Amino acid sequence: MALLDDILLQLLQPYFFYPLVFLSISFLCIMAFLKLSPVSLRRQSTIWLIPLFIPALTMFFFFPQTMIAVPLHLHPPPFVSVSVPFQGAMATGFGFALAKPLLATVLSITGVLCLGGAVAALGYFVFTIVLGPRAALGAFHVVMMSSEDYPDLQESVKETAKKMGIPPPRVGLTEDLRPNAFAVGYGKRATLVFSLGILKVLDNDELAAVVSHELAHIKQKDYLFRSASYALNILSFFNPLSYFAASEAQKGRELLADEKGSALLAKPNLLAHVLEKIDGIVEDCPNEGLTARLSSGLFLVTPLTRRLEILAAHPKLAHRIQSINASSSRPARGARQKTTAVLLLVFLVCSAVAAGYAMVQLQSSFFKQDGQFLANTWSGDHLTATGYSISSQSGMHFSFPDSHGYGNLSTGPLFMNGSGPVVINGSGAIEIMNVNANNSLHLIEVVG
Amino acid sequence: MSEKKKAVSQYNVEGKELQAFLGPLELSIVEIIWCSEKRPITVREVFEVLTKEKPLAYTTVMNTMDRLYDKGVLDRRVEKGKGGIHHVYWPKLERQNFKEAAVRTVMSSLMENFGDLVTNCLIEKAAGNDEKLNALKEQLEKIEKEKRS
Repeated sequence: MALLDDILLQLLQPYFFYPLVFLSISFLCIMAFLKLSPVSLRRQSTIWLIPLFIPALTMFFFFPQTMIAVPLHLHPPPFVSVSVPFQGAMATGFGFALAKPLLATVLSITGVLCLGGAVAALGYFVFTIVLGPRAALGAFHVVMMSSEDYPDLQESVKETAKKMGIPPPRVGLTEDLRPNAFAVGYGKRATLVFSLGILKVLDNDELAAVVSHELAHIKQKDYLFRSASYALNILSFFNPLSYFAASEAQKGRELLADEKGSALLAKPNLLAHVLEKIDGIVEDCPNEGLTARLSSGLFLVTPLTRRLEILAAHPKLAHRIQSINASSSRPARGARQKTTAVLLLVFLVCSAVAAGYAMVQLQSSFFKQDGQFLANTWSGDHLTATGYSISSQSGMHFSFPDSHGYGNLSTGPLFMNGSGPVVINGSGAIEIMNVNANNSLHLIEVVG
Repeated sequence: MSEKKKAVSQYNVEGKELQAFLGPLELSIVEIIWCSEKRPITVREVFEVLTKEKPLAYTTVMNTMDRLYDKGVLDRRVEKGKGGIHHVYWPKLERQNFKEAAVRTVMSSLMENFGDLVTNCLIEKAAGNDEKLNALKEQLEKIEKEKRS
């Protein structure tokens, strides 16, 4: 039971519990919302970021701690290292102990997970923004095209970029014989990369369709979107739903790039034809390598054949083609959509409040003994006591270890009766905070 | 079959040494591959070495290597690597062997088309130089002895 209690106590830490519960509730709400009232692709992909943002916000308010207070009965020695001299001091401290330690601090596993996730997420985001484009170009051995390389294609890139109102990206190629293309970076640092395979199998019109799709990604700043959504996914890596939310957000961006890219073409269905053509070839020679796995989300069509659909960054080909063909008949935002959104928002808030209340109740049950809160927290050489009553005419003397061995502390006559915390720390000082002392406090003397 | 391909398909009378058989860029590429420690080699790797000296388009290098493959100077296969699947190239013959094979190819062609003229030319050329004349005599005697035995 102690182990189960211990696990529960770890899970009930607000920096872990709230992100876990809120992400899950908001995920379900969004799934229901999109089912009940479909929205535009742009909005859809953005909406899927909401569950991923919630843990970041929650952790901002409840910053993860590496140590937590737990009732000592859950962690009796030797789980918590109680130094023998200190125990002795508590027992024999010249008549009475100031406060009996009832709480201990232990390593917060969930706190470490959250902090680890936060550091990894930040690291991933900074890496992908600062070094990501260069790393991707290096990993795929991209060679930048000179003006003599595929001049028609480069002209097509310039024209399409002009139509989209973005600066023309740099154009590179990889020696990969499988047909594919991808865009990395953003703004003026964006690079559009074609494989030799795609340059060989597609004609100029078909390549123009690929250019439109990839430039739509650049215009939508999908590289940044992708980095942010995966960083948020890493932040909540312990919640499986975060992977689904990130995947759904990516799929939305892919469909949006298909839609925007097709809109610029003379034959809007050309992109669907190109996707079908390429997908057939890629399926015959898939790339399951680590580089391809890590960067599969960048490609025009996924180079992976063995993939879990629910976690994929690309929607199914059939879905993409259907979406391209139906792009002109997107549902408009209506009253029904607003009502659904409001109802689900209310549900989300109510669920969050209920979950928060449940967490506080559950957590506090661990810290009650005979109906009273355990509040004397002891950690190593540091004691915090509340709800005390101390009186001494002759002063008090405590022995306790500090970092150098025994520390001695004496007080003169001391009369205290209060509910504020008293902190004794190992450096040989008494701190009295927020004491509602009825009696005068004559002397606090530190010896040793 | 690629083995039956001739070592060279053209001869440039103005070219010096191997430039008589290969174009300047072709020769530069083959020289890079002959000198390269890493074999087989990709177009990109050759391109990176070449562009250190002068700017070149990737497709120029790629097309030239394709042409060298078609001519039978280079061989290639598809290899799976870090960046996907790509062509890798290696020389069919090392420098000295290529040189010999190329000269023999040209001489065979000349002999086939202008047999007597070529023989006369060779004797005339050799007659002007005592060393070469003696070497030719020795060669002929050796062949005669072999025929008798």
